[in-house]
Amino acid sequence: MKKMNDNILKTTYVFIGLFTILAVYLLVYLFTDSREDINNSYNKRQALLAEKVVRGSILSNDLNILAQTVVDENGDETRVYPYDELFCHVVGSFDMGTYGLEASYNFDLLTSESSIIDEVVADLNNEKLIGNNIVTTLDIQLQNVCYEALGQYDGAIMIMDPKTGDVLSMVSKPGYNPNDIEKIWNDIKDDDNGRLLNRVTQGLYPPGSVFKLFTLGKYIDSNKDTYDDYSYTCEGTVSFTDFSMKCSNKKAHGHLDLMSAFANSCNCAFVNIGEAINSDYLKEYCNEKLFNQDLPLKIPYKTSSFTLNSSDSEFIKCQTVIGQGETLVTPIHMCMVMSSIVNDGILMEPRFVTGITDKNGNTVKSYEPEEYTQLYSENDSELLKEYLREVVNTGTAYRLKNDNMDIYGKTGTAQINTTGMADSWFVGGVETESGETYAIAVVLENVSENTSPAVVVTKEILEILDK
Amino acid sequence: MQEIIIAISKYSIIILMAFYVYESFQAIRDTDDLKKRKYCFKQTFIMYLVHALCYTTIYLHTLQDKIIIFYGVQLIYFILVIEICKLIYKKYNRPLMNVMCMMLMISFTMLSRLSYDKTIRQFIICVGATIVAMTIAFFMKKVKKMREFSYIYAILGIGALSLVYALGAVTYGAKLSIDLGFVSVQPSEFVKITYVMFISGILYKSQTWKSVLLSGVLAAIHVVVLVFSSDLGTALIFSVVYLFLVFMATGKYSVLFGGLIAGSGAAFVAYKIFDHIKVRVAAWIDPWSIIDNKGYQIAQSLFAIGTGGIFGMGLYEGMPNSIPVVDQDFIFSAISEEFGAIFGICVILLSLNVFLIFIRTAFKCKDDFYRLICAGFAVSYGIQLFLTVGGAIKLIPSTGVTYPLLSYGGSSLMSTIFIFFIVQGVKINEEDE
Repeated sequence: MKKMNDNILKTTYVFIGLFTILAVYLLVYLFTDSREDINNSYNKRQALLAEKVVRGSILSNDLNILAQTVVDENGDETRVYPYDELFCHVVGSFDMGTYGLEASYNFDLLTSESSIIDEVVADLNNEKLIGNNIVTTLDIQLQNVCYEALGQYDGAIMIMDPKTGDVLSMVSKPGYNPNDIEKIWNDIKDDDNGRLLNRVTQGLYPPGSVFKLFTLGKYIDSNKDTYDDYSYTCEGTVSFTDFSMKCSNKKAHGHLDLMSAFANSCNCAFVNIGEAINSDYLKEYCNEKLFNQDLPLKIPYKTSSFTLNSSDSEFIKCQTVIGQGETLVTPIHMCMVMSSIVNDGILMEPRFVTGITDKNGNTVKSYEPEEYTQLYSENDSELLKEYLREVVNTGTAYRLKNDNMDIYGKTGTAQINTTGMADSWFVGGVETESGETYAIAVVLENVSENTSPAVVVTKEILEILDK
Repeated sequence: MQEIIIAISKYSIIILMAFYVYESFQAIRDTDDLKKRKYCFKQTFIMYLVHALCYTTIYLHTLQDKIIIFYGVQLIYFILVIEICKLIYKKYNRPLMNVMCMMLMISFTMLSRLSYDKTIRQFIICVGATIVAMTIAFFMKKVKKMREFSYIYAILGIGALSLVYALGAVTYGAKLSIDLGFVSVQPSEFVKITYVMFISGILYKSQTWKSVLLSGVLAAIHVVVLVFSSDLGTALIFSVVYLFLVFMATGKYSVLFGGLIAGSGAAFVAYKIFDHIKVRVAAWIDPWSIIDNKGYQIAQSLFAIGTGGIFGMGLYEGMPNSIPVVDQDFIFSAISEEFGAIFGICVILLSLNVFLIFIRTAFKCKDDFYRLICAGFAVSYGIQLFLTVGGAIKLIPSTGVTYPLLSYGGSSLMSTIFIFFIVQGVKINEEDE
């Protein structure tokens, strides 16, 4: 009998242990992971939190208000966006479904960092708590310049800081005024122009000659000892059995080495280079450079697609290596690739938010820059910089040449169809004398085929970085 | 005004519940009768107050007169149960009775908020079960040979489970219940009682390897039939109960640890064989990537608990109905969402209190058969609680078992009330001798 009781006692300890684990785990979970977990678009309880908390503000990198909730004397709340259309896609909007950062940080904005006593007092007085603010990386001046530079064009511009991954500017047109979203909702929700769409992350464009960066990269990769000896004589067109490829305006570039072929964006030379590359290996290389891959982003985005494989026809392959074909890319993807080239091959995660503050401005949580991956080796990034620099020094982006800054990049003109209209690209890196660095991606839609307005737009933006 | 009453009630309920838990643990310590009576009196007082505050809040949210009537009927039920027991069984265990009533009050409150009609049904079953259960102690006194029928219990248990396997209706991929036309019964809930009694009946007499093996074979048949019915949560409870009962009766560590190792092996094999275990494990490891389908339920449960936080959203101010099967497997998440995590932890502690009362009753028994059934019921109750709460908070994969006394479900409620009154019966009969 005594012996049985001893065993029962031991069993009891086991179960007291199990009960304790339950209680402790529950408490630890509430104070740690649960905050991350409940900030999920599947959590329908956000509407309930909004009844207890006044939504916090979204701030720019210098703590100006980009979005805030104003409460009138009747207690009615209005979400106000002081910059109207300027930040409509990246900050997003709130009243007709949530978009942009309003959506990604919904729960943080609806969480109030109050003491337990404040919470009880507010509850007993039937008052609302003030939600936390999010401090973004967005720079109002840069955003404004990009917005103005894009002008009447539809398209997208993104600028990021390659060292931190900070997203300084993100413009997409056409946009809408988030202050009026309820009034204009019926117009914009089915709009063919996709005014709600953030083209920087969700717009899929043919890359045009921008893609030559990847064809070049793969060629250098697999011809490490001989790429310097490459030479080609361009006659403006090159014929195959049942089709022919031509350079822009059928311009004959004459004798070219690898660097001048790239700088002048010579299609004929790149078709020739493409013949030396195995399609499957090119696909593998592109997958490494984040084609067909998920990106580390908290806002909605599309993945860039590259579908070429060895069973495709020669025509498709020739198209693909010069950036026509089936390939589609997002501006943010191109900006990230550039950012890694600027930053010695290291890609930082694009960072939109540096921290969360309470209503008094005290930091509740901060987000540090995070390295995402080594996209290029340090040598490769240096080498590609040289090629890209040549584009600005002697090639298609000569208009950007600037003695005060190191500028390198690649232009692109992607024909959309046979109408003679095209998308115009510039992607590149900038290093100023004071040591600041930027990665930039610009794409303009529906420009006439033989102009490259993206370079002009970029030039306007660079002027502000120059100061 | 209304909002203020609701807000004050919300915090009062949490504070009162914490006091209740404190008094509950005081009441089961070894103290003199006078002190014990004092704790029990305080417990009773707090319990009725919490119940009244809960139903005040429900009324203020619904403004339906039927809520007041339902509250009144419940109040009469609780007073009558306690008073009648006091009258017919002088030696009954008052702290156990109080905790049972408190759990039922919480259950009726939460279920009323989730679905009024279901709660009425649950309440009627509760009244019926209590009336039957109150005669248990009397029968235990008359029928001394209860312990002689081990094999009959085992055969009854295996028979009932086999019947479910043959005729059972499938819910959520498992065969759990038999539809009798007007009502559907979940026999495994009642087999939990006969199962503990048959093992105890064999092991109290002799603790030899032969008895261990014999009871083991019969227990294994129970478990295998449950596995065939895909009722894996119950199969797990039965396995654990067997191992601990053998350990408590014989002190054989080899059985306990050997069993746990073999059990882990069996669990791994089951994981490989059964798709619905794979689903639950996948949902446990990362519900967020499969939130559209497999991870939906556990994700909703975590949303509920996380959003509710320490103090809860308040009754009717959360969205517990967004959790699939909330009134059974995930009742704890609903409680934690609306009453808050402090209250939730109080509920866990109250369950620990129940466990300890069962164990203490076992401790004080002069009779080894009674000792083993009380300890067996304690283990069965404890492991079930660990599985249901652990599943809701994603400590372990969800096993689909209910929270005894709190979850919706007639069979579970009935069998749990019977178990409570069997333990009462043990105490009453032990002290009468």
